[in-house]
Amino acid sequence: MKERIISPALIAVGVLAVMLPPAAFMLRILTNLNPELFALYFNREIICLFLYTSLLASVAGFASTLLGFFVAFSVELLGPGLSSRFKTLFLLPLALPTYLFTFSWLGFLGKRGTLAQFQMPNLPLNIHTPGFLIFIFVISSFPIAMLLCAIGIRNIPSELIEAGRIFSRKNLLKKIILPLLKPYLLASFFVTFFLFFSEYVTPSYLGIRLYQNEIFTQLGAFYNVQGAGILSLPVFSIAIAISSAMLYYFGKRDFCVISGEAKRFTGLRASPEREKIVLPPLLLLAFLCVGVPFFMLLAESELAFAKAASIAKNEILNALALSLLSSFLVTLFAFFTVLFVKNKFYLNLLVVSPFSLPSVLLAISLIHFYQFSFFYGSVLPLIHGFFLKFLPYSILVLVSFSEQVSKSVEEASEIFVRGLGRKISRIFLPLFSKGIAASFFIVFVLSMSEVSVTQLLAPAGFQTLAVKIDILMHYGNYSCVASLLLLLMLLVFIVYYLIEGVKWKR
Amino acid sequence: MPGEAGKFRVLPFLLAFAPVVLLLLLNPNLREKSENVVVVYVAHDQDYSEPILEEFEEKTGIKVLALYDTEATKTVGLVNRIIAERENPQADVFWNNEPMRTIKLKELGLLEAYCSPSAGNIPQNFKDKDCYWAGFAARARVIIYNTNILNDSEAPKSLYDFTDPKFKGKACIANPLLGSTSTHMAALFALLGEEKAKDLLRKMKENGVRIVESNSMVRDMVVAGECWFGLTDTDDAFDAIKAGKPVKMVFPDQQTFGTMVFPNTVMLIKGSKHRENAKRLIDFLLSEDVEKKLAETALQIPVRKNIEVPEEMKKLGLDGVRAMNVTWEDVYANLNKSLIFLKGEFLK
Repeated sequence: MKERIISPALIAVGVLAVMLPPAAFMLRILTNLNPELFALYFNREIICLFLYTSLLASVAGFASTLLGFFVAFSVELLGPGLSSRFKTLFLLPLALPTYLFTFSWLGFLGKRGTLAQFQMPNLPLNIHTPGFLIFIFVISSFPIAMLLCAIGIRNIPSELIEAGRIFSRKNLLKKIILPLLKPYLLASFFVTFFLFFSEYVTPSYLGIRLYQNEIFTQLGAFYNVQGAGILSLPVFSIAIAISSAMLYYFGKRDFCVISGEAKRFTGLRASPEREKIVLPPLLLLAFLCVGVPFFMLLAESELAFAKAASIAKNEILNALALSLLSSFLVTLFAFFTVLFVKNKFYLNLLVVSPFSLPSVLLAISLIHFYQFSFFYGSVLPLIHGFFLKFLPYSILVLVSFSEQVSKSVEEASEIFVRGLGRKISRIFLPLFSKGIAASFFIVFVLSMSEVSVTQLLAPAGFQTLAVKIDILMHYGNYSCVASLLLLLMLLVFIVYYLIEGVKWKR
Repeated sequence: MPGEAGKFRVLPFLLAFAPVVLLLLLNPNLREKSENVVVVYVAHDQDYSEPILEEFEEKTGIKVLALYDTEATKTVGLVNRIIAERENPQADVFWNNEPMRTIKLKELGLLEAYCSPSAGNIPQNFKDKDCYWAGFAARARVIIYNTNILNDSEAPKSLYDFTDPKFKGKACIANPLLGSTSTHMAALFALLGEEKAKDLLRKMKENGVRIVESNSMVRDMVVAGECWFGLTDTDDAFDAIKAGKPVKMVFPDQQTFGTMVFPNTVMLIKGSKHRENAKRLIDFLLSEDVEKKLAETALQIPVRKNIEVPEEMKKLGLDGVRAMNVTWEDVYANLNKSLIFLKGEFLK
């Protein structure tokens, strides 16, 4: 009975909180749209730019997914201790805004950078190229793909891996792992593709003109929200198109679900000799995506941690409170939605809606949504902004855990466990625990470094750590910026280990 | 543990979040619900504006709730927020760091006229004739150059040096569609005339001038030696000089048409919820005392001639800088024209 009420209630909340603000905004744009206006924005040059950006986003999405899969697969070949350490290490790039990778690499490879000081002044590297942009994007965003693929690998039934090893050891990857991971790989591609479309600071820093910069030019130079909205329409359409294609491809099943039982170990562990083959590329990647930014930040920080912490004391507390609360709300809603709402089309819409608009327009849609309400001017619209922006990640992660609850466990719980609350606390929460932890962590990390939604929705007098870092960077206060970023990485580590430490008592 | 049914302790999990919620609710800034507040959106650098606002709080007992602009969203930040909030304004005062977006807000009908008594001795070309805004504490456009690459005699001294073939591909400017660079371009259109300005910009483009995201990025590129020199604002250049980076700044075109000198601007937002407090803050910001402080801390040029400038400012030549002879109305009238050219031709 309770389930019958909960499901529509969750759908209502989802429609109201997730789909309505961007839909109302787009509706406002579309109702004022006439063919002349459309032609004004979509000339041949803009269409070419859109296609070019889509191409780069596809390459970046593909490369991130490939790298994410490679890392997720490789770490499974290592022993549990090493595997866990590598995974934690590779999640760290998520804590840093992408443009900071650009700065670190400029400091490393630039004409007066670290390498140039070590008598390597004539490296034939031009970092102001689309190739370098993709490189920066891939090393900063592949952890999302890694996380999704790691979940997928854990979901592959161990019997299948055993069978694969016995009958066709060489084809284990080709015949067993890759086909079963297809939904996760596509989900990774989907997420990283749209992340690329929403990244505008790094292309601008590298002097590369992309479609998203046209959208921001409409806002930043012409203060033309309608123009920005019209230019967002192709992104909106592409989000719908990719999602629909995925739905069709997977026969109307959710694109991120495969059956199987999650387990702690996959049975993929390699022999010590093979481990030695896997380690060097993983170490190289760790150097590229964590080592370079970490050491550049350490060198720049002048170890001014105490000073930086005292400057940004309130901002650290605000960011922690906001990120923890947002992660909690997002994960809670995603968990109940995945558990009670079986309509895959609805779940897909929940994922697609926030991706269809750039963050700034998403925030403006929330200003329109809230500005006559009692809550406007409080922290609630900002929490809502984070909720909207990060819900897709949480849904994608938790959906992949949803089929871990086998029918037999569900039936047994119907017979032996009374009450919905008990069923949730005794059966579903423990079964979803790793997914909940992963979702919580990923939303937390992304929230800690969020700037654009915060800037438009934060109440006056409220500043977060990411905003403070951005402001300090503008002043050229590099030692404070570097120290705060290292503190941010430390906070991420602490939260990761706290989440890992949550015990589910049998 | 995944895959194992067991007992999950919900209560401790939820209790862990109680401090978080409390922290949010008890945040001292958010707790401030009294009427004795003023909400100010600040596009001026937080480093320099925050102490000024704290002093206002101390002197008046009025709590200031400030929202500062960031570099990452500067182009789409506070001005778009004020426009989006037009039906239910949250800000009482906007402390902008330049005049163009201010005039834009006036044009959109989002400002309310207020003739501050403090603005009485501010020169007419630094304030609106209808009292919609007033300017104070100006910055200037400068050329910043890397002293490890160029010595003083080699350093460029004019915008026309950006077109010199010996500097091909070595100069940077910020995105000319945004911020003070866009104002500078519009000022060139107003001063030189459309054709001459276009010609200068075309030649700059041919000479491989690099476009980067922001003025602070220009500074960083010059500091890093990625660019030999670039066009930026005095505050950005000053930050690098103060930090001991190998850079110097020079005011361009001092022998000819001068450089752009542009003030901070302050204005009352239409529909302000704390009008009296807002007016007191505007009076305070436009006071001579604040201009003097901004000259001392941020090396911003006082728009009033009677204010004594600090020695450091004199050393850098900020007291005698030759400014372009244009009115803000003229510059604004050329803004759209220049933006269309820059977007359609210069940035292609």
